[in-house]
Amino acid sequence: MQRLKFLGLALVCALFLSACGEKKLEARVPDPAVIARGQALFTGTCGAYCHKQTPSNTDALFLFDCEWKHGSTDDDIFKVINGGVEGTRMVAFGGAFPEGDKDARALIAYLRSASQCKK
Amino acid sequence: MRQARKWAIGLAGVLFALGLASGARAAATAGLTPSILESPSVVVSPAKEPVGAKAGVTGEMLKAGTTDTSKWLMYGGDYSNFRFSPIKSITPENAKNLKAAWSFPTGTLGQFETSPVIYGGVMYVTTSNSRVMALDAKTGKLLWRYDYTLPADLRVCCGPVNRGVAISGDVVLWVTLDAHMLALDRRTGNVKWNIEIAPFADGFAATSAPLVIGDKAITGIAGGEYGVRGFFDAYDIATGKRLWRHYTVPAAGEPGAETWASDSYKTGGSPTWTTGAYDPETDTLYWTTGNPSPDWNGDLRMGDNLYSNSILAVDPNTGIRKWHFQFTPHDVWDYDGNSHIFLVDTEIGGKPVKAVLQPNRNGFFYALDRTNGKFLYAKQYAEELNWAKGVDENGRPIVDPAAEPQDKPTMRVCPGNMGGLNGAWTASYSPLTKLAYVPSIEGCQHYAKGIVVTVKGIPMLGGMPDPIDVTEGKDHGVLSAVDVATGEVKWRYQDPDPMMGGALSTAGGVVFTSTQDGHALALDATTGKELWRFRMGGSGRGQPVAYEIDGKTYVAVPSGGWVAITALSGGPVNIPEGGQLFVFTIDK
Repeated sequence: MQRLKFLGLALVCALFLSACGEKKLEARVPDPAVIARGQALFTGTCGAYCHKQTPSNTDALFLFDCEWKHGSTDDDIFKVINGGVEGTRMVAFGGAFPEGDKDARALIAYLRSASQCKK
Repeated sequence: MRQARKWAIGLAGVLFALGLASGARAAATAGLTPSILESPSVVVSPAKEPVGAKAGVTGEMLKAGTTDTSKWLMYGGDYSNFRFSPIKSITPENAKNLKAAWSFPTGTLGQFETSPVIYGGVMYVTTSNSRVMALDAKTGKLLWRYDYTLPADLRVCCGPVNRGVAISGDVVLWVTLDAHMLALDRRTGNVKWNIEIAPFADGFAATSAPLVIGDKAITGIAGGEYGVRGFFDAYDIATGKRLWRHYTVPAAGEPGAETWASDSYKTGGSPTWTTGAYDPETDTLYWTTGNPSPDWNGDLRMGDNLYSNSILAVDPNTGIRKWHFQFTPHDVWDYDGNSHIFLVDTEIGGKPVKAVLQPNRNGFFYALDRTNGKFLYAKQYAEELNWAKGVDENGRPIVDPAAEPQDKPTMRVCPGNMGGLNGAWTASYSPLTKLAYVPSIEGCQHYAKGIVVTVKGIPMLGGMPDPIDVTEGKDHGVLSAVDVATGEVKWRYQDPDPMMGGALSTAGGVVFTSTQDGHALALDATTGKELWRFRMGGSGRGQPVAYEIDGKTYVAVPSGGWVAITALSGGPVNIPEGGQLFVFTIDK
C-alpha cells in the first residue's frame, strides 16, 4: 500500500515535470511565425519613433538587453504593453492590436528572440 | 565622429522619441517644471511704448512683396514664394566683404527654422518651443518678447519648431506647437486673441507661418505621423473666428473618398504643415499636403489616397477647391508634398505659361499650369532617384514595386524619407537668372514595413526607415540650380552634410543659404561658386532674408539645429543645440 502511494506520487510528479518541461520548451523555441508577427508589430508600431534596436539616448527604453524596468516575466511585460506606463509616452495598447492579446504575446516572443542579453 | 554619428542615428532614428521628449523639454523651458538646468521660465515682456511704424501693414504692401527693400512681409517674401530680394548691393565681387552686424540668442534648443518678418524697422522672429520676439532690425535690440506656455505632452513629430509669423494691419499672426493661433499686437507684443486650431492631444501641431490674404489668415496643421485627418483653415484676422476649413482627406460620399479603402480616410493624414502661395490675379490660393497615414504601410488604405501629397488650388474666399494635382499617389515612403512651391510666369516648350513649380520631396521637380492644374513636366533634380522609373504623360509616377517597403528590405531606395527638399526649409527662385535654388539631402534608405496599431494621439507609422547611407557615410548635401523652363539642373553646389538650410536669392547675383556644420554661405547665383562663408556655430536650419535700413543692406541667417534630425540626415551630431540669429551687412 505504502509502495502504491509512492508510485502514485511519483507518477503525478513525472506528469507534472513533463508538463513543465513542455512548457519550458515552448518558451525557449517559440513558433517562428509568432516571432515574425511580433517583429512586424515592432517594426510597424514600436521601432520608428520610440524603442530602438541599438542602445540610444532616448526616453523610450532599450528592450533588447536584460534590464526590465517594470518586471521581467512575460506577464509583467504583457501588463506594460496592454496597460501602458503612467507618466511616460508608453500608452496602453490593450484592445488596439489587430489580433488582441495574441499580438501582445507575439511582441514578447519577438523581444525575447531578438534579445542581445547574454544571460 | 563615426562613433558619435552611430550613437545619434540610434537616437534619431527615433526622431520623435524625441518629438515627445521635446514636448517635455518645451514644457520645461516654458516654466512648467522650472529647473536650473533648463532654459529660463516663460517670459512675457511687452514693449513699454509701442514700437515700429504707426501705419499698419496693408494688402497692397503684401501684394508688393519685397519690392520695398525695407520690408520682408511674409514667409516666401512675396505671394509667389520667390524668396528673392531686389537688393543689388551684394554682388559676387564684394560678397567676400560681408561681416556680422549683430546677433541674438533664442534661448531655446531645437531647430531654429524661422523666416524673419521685417516691417517698420522691426524684425519679428519666432523660435523653437513657441516664442516670438520683436527686435530692432538695425541693431538687434530686444523690443518685446512673448513666450507661449506649452503643455507637457505635445504631439510633435519632428522637433519643437516654428517657421515664422505673418503680419497684417497691427498684428503679427503665429501658430504654436499645441495647434493654437495667436494674434499679437505688432507694436507691443500683447495678445489680441488666441484660438485652438485643433486638439493637440489628438495628434495635431502647428509649425508654419500663416499666409495673409485680405482680412483672412490661412494656416495648415501637422500630424501626418499621428493619423489625423488633415485640413487647412482661414481665420478672420480681426477676431480669430474660423471662416472655412478645407479637409484634405474626403469624407465618405465626397469626391475622392473612393481612393481610400474602407474607412481608412478617418486616419488618413494628409497634413498641411507648410505655407502656401497666392495668385492675386486669379484670386487663387495654393496649398500643399503631406503623406497619408500610416506612413510606411499602405495595405489598409489601398487606393491613391486623395488628396495626400498633392497641391490644391482653392478660392480663398470660400475654401472651395478649383483643382488638384497629386504628386505621389498611395505614398508609402513619407514623401510629403509639402515642399516649397513657386508661382512663376515662364515659357515651357516655347509657350508662355503661368506655372506653379515644386521641387518635391520625392526627387522630381514639377511644373504645372497653375490656371488649371495641367501637368507640364517632372524632371529629376535629386542626384539619386529610384523609387520610380519616371512619370507618365499625366505626371503619374511609374513606381518600381521593389522600392516599396518590405518586411526585410534589401533595396537602397532614393530619396530617403526626408527628401530631397523637405518642407522644413525653403528654396528660392530668381526672376533674373530664371533658376530655382534647391538645397537638399542626398541619401537613400531601406524602408521596412510592419503592422499598424492605431491608438489616437500616438504615432501611426506602419514601418520604419533605416538610413543606411548615413550609417555608411554616403549621405551628403547639394544645392541644385534648376532651369525652370526645362527642369534641367544647371549646376550643383556640394556640401559634405545634407543641406537643410533655406535659400534666398538677390538681384545682385548672390544666393544665400547655410550648412549643417554651422556656416552661412553666399554662392554665385549664375555659377554656384562659393563666394563667402561665416561660421555661425549652430547648424543652419533656418530661412535667410535680406532687407535695407537707412541705405544699409542686411542679411539675416538663423543658426541652430536639433541633434535628432541632424543624425537622421547624417549631419554633424556633435554640434551643440541652441538657436542664434546672425545678421550680416556690407560696407558700400
